Amino acid sequence: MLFCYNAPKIFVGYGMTGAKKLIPLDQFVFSRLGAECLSKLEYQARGGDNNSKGNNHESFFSTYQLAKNYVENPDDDIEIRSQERAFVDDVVVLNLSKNSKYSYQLKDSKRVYWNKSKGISPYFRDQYKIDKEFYKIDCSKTILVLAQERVYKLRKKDIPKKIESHTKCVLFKNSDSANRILMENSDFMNVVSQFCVYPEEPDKVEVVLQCLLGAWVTHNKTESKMSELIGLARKSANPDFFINSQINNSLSLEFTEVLDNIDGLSYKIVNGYLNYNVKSFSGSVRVRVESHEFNVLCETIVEENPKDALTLFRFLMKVGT
Amino acid sequence: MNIYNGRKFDSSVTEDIKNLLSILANKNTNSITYKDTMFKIGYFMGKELSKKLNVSGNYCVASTVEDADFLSKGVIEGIKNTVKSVYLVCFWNDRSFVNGNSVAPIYNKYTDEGFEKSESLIVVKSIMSGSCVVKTNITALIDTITPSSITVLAPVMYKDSQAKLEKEFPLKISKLFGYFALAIDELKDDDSGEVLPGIGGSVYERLGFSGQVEKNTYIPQIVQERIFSAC
Repeated sequence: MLFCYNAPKIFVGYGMTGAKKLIPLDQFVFSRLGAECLSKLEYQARGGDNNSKGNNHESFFSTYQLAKNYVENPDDDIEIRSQERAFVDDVVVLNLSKNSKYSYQLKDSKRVYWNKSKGISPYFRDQYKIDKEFYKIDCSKTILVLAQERVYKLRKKDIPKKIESHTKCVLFKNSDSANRILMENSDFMNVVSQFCVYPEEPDKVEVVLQCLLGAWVTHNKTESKMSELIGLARKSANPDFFINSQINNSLSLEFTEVLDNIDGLSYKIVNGYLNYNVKSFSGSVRVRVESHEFNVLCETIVEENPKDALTLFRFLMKVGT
Repeated sequence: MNIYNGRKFDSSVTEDIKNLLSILANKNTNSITYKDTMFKIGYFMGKELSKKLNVSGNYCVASTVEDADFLSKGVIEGIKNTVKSVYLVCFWNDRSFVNGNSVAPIYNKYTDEGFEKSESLIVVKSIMSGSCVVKTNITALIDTITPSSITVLAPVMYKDSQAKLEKEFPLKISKLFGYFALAIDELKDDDSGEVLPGIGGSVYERLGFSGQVEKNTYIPQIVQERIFSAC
């Protein structure tokens, strides 16, 4: 199937005569949904009543979608966009490989209704129509994302019949901090931890989340490809706790001989990093086993040939600091 | 709390303790005196805290590497004869900024055998300013132990640090928090972010480390004794 999703890069402009030219999406909205709908689309594009609280919620949710979609479909061609020229516009996940589109509207408010004055149901209805008839999307879903649990329970129960075939209501609580959202949202923790060398260690998972958030917040206006955004997050990571598929699990024989001669020492490579312990003192070397710095460390240790754990730890703990 | 020179003191603070706090705040204090003063303050705070502890309770003292031999050792000495058991957990954190936020991942950790049995957590820190390290270390422990109370103990805290710490946790955890500070400071240096008078600057340097690198390659005596006692 020919997929013709138009990225909303060109907005309404004026020609030499002063007459307003409409981009194809606006022409479609004007002719099929009416002038009033086109005005609403304009209002949505200006950002409505966004505020910093909303932006925080949106950043966390977008980053969650970025991580989740990468974990679930790493090889798919996926774009994640925010504040589209659309009726349901906060976050859009477009899977070009599957020709599917998930449009999310985020609300961190106690007053969210489907049908009352300023109700959101017409926006969901019109978005679905645009996706199916204008963009020719095979699978279009419109999703209301609520931050407040009480409102979520109410709106989940009264999704209007007219939109329920393509609409869902989900709960995604807002948070003041990355640490807190990972503790409160186990799905979020689960997907982010799958990027992390140490998935069971929240201090490292938090660093990975900050890298993903940073990539999203910094680049979402200019980059929408999921794989590119993940690549930018990896590239900027310092400290780097991103899992690497190219893992070297081998240590030189001379190096392991030194380690094996230390009383009480256990060691193993975890996702490309050397971990060690004596009794209940444990640690990890800060640099990857395949790095140049680790090779230098190995050579130094082989040369110095420490005979006890305390002397060895001084070498292992210093590298990469 | 009583107030002196813009600093709020806990009601337990005597003139002797005010003098000890002044020694920490004095930038001319040498590292040997500084370490000794930290231990004395830790011991005093441990003794004060022990008045409120459960005599049959198991307590976990969570320390940073730089505080272990001084402030935390003093706290442990101050409470160990009052309660059933005291377990030490020590963390080596690397402070840095990612995406404009302070993070403090843990690269090394020491835990006393049986620390998981602790019903209460006492988190020791020489100064609580931004709360990042305290947040990281509580989060690292909270899955392993299920404390009924978490006491954050620091000789000096910045006025906003408690609220900042609580924002990092779900209510079910932050409601367990209690605080014990001898002094609450309200000023910070605009450029360095240093709490004033605080504890007289960066605790790493004041304790005699050249900086974060050196403190992170150091294994405190209190930990060495435990690791190598039967090796």
